[in-house]
Amino acid sequence: MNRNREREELIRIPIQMNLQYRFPAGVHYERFFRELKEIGRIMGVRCPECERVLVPPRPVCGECFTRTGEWVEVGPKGTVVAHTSIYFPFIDGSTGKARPIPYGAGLIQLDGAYSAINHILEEGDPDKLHIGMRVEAVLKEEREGNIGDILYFKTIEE
Amino acid sequence: MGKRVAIIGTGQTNHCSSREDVNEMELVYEAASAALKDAEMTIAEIDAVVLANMELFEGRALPDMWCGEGGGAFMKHSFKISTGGTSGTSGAISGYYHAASGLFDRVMVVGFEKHSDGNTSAGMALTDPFWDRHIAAAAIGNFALSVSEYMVDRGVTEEQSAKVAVKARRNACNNPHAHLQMPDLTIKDVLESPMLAYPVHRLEMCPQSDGACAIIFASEEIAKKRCPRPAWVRAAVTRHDHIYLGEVKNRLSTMRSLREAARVAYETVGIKEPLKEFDVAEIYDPLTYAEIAWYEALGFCENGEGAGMIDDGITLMDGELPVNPSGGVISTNPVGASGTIRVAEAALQIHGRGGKRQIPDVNLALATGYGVYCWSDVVILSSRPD
Amino acid sequence: MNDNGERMVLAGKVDLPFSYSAGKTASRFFVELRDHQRIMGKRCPGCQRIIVPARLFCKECFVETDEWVEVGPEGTLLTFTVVYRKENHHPIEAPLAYGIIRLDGADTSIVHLLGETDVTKLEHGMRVRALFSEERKGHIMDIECFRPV
Repeated sequence: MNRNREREELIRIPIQMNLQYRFPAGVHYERFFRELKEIGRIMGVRCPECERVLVPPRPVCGECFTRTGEWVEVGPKGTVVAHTSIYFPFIDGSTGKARPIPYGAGLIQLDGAYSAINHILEEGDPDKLHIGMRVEAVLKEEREGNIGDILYFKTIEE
Repeated sequence: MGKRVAIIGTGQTNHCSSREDVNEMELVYEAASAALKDAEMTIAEIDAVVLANMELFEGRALPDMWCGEGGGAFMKHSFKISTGGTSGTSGAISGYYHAASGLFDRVMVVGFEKHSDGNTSAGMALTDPFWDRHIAAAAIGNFALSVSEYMVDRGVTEEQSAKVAVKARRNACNNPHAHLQMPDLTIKDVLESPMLAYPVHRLEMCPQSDGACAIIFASEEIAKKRCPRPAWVRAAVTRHDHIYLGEVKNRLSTMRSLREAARVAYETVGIKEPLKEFDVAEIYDPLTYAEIAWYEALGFCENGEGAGMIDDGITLMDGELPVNPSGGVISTNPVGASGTIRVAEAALQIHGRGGKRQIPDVNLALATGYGVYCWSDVVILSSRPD
Repeated sequence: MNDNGERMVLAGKVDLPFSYSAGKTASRFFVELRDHQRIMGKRCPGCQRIIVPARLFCKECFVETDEWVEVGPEGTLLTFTVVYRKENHHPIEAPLAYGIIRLDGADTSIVHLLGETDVTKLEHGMRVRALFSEERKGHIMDIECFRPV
């Protein structure tokens, strides 16, 4: 509600900002994406103290404040621990186009991992999604070395 | 705890979707002037100014420099706090620390946000580039993920969630500053509003508002002299949990940062039964389901009983513990100010300046802040210094 | 590292549209530029300064300004600089000059472009005059530049 009735003209200055960015991935993300791109496998790291396998991998376990150690393959199957269906046609950053709505998104705990990753679910119908359902990563044929190399997670029978 | 400090005045703009008649600095000026008037103080008397804003949304770097003049920060000791949704409460806590240190006597805090200058995509386009951006689920989508977990874990229904929205928007009608005032809102209206991200409907979600809110903290001697009923700060706690959503299991159910911040705050004050002991609570409710989850995290009830509280009317204006007489964040959300508004609303209840939203006999008030995804602030105010 | 020994970098672009409200006061300032080719300031009732561009309140006295006062269009060039290398954000080709100009009647100065002159021959204290654009839309660039008198 706009409570400000002005007879005077009120001006807005439009400014379009085009921001370019370059984020160095760092050693851990780099290995994750390289394995995903070249071998098609998803990797996590284990914290030597709490022994949890963390995905995305990282140099330090936040809770233990300890350097992580062993690299462990996780997935490609996993369990949906949270899900939603999105009715807003957000622009997919990697294609510049809106996704057809509704599209599914979820938190997926990959087999072997402690933490979940958020990603797209192939199934968008909320009636067909439930917590605990099994899914599997579907990878792109031609991969680039970013999270979009996983196209989405498809529902599987298990 | 440091030296005794109280809030002696507050001020807010009339929050709405678009303030075309002022730019951001002037919005800040409005709130700051209102707080000075409430406290019967001049800007010359203020020793320090803390500004709180999530600059991402307006795409204006250094908001403390561009807008600080509006807060009276010109040639004064001044800091900016920018911690997402908790900016407002963290800003208030920072203002409190300034005074509690004994180094500053009169500190003004101004939280502000001018969403109409920017757009939602600005804020959410700049989430983690490696893991989050491609999904572009935005705050709503990410909340919805947590809601689906929570509904399954606690058995909360859509109707119970809708009741929270009805409470909030009706309460807002008593608050001249609130953005969304809907006196006739029904559960049906809420559940028939467009679905944003399953299962969250539009009317269950907070709006984006243009608004600013200012608070004046004073040291003990000044508070006693200048305010008939100061709101003494008895606890101010901040806790941050993981930032990546996948790290946290059942976020709304567990909400570790809020539980821990509350535990420490309650221990500081000696609170054992928050539901009985608090007279009013202004909690940061970005959407309806979160409010229900916060009842549990704050120990108002046992886990699993949060939704029952809304069914039983315990948190209505005439209930045992009124929650968000102001209408809450669900009714008014200028992000950088939303947290400051919680503290201001809790304070003015103690001051007795709540007008139509005044709860009778308020001596102990709770204010909380929340930020994406797991950041929490807890502030406890009392009519007594100890 | 990739085969070239380069570290991995995630690069991209984000396009964000913003739309800043000028507010009542600045709006009137811009409308006066656009419709009347007049530069307006406001007086602070506290310190009596004429503040340009017009502002709602005086930051030093923390009170609302009251009276609208026309200033310029001539003024004094307090200082200037010349940019010799054009970057993306520069509005015109190099060499381009910026200056701080104290308009006649104003107590504060504005920053703007200097033009219609040999920018290598600018001097501190020069008298300059606002040159208004042919097409104006309620924007600071309704003043195209300041040029020496």
